[in-house]
Amino acid sequence: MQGPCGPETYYQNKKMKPELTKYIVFSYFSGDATPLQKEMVLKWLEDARNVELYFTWLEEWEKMHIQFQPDPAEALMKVKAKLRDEEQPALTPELLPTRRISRKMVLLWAAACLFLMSFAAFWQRELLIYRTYHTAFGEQTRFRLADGSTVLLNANSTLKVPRWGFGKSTRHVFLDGEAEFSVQHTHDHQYFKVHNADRSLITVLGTEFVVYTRARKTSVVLNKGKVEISSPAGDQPLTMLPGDRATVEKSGQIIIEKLSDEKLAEHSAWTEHRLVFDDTPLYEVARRIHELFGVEVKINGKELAARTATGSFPAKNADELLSILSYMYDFEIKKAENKVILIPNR
Amino acid sequence: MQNKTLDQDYPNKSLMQAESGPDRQEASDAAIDKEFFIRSVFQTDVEKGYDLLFCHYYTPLCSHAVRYVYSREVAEDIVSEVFMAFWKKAAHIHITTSFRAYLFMSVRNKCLTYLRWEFKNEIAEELSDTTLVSMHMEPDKLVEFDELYQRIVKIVDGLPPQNQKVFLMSRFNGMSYQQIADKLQISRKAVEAHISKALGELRRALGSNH
Repeated sequence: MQGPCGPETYYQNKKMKPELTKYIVFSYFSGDATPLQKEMVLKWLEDARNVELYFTWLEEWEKMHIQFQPDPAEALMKVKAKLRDEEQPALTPELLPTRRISRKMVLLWAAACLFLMSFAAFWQRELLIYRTYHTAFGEQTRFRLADGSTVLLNANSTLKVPRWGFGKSTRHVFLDGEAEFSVQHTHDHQYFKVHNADRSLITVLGTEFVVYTRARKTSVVLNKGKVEISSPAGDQPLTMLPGDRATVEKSGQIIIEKLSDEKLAEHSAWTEHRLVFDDTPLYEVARRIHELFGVEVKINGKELAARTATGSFPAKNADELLSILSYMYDFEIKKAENKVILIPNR
Repeated sequence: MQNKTLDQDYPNKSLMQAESGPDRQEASDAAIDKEFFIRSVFQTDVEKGYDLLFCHYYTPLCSHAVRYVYSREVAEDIVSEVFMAFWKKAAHIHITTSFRAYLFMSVRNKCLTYLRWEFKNEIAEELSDTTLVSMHMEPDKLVEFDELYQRIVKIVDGLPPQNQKVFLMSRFNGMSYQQIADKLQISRKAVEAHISKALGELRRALGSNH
């Protein structure tokens, strides 16, 4: 019954606190240990510290006596794929539906709130709840809100500001048209929220930005600071950085793009009673004039309508702008009642 | 066929080398360092730590598991399951032992559960790994586990050569009865007979003590 290990080692080990050689443990792993050696291993394991050593040696022994060669990299890939798969089905039946419901609920509530708000807005209460700033065609107004923020409202635009509690509990304003905001940062970091005509929302801490929100689209251009923009259709609010322009599509999708300095200036040019065009087709210019000055511009001939305008134009009123354009593009202006017709010269 | 890699007789040379002098200490130190290194990676990047842990221990763990279950496929499945549980439970936060000890213990427990299920048709009660680990860390349990795989080795080793060959082809290599029959040019019935004999031996031996 003499194992591979000599009697000397055995007695040495017996005398001292059981300390085993790796040799004995290895032969034990291989099933070659004598019953006495097994007994030694058992004693040795009673010291909790040796348990870790046991596993260290087990690993080492296994590495020396590999039974087959698996592919760990492939196995790892499989395990990770499984974990990913399990995460999803586990989430879908339990968590997501409830979340979906609650999100739906939130949307419902939001819709209900908006409905109530618009309902209220339709009735006289609106006058009570909101102070409404409105600019006529061709008119611009600059004013200061209770929280110190300033607004420059472009022509044909409406801004509604709650009469009570503004700057105290909330800073929500409702815009239909175009405005340049310079939002004051408050000590308690209160959000300034601009609700746009298409129900998209701009969330601000303190910053300067220009909003265009009319029937055809909403766009936000950020000059300074940081704002967040969201729309009822888009799920997550997007963050804008200075120089960005966000466009809210009809679908509610938000597109953010970085603007060049020139383009950036274009968007706030109106604050200086100028309009900047950059390869803008005349029909776009016509639309712009209609928005700002309430003058419907008709262009005779597709060719003329498709010609593009580039440059910065003084735009205090429609007449001034149109007369410059007529000179440049060689057309005649015919005035009808509240309507202007552009006829190309031959 | 490199099936009979199961070493009753380990290569003495390498053992002697490992035994002699500083080499031995170095090898263990390296293993401890490796564990320590993986732990430190876990602290900064859990996923990276996990990848390292997996790649480091997968092969030895599979090798260990196959001593119990004698099937390459089952062994890999068991080890993968252990690693999946490790990830899901974020075991790296909770375990008090070394990762190595935890992994080897978990693999052993799963192997035992598997064997019970296979040979005794018991409904394998799966205890949570952590309780099992602490439960089976006692010296006599560790030794029992060692004796279990050693017993299995003896059983398989004691099978008549052809019987053993068929058994390994079926279990370890996962070949179908028909494939084995074709390969060894024996009838399918003969293959079935070999398998049931080998399994019978195992069942008898394992059933006696478990």
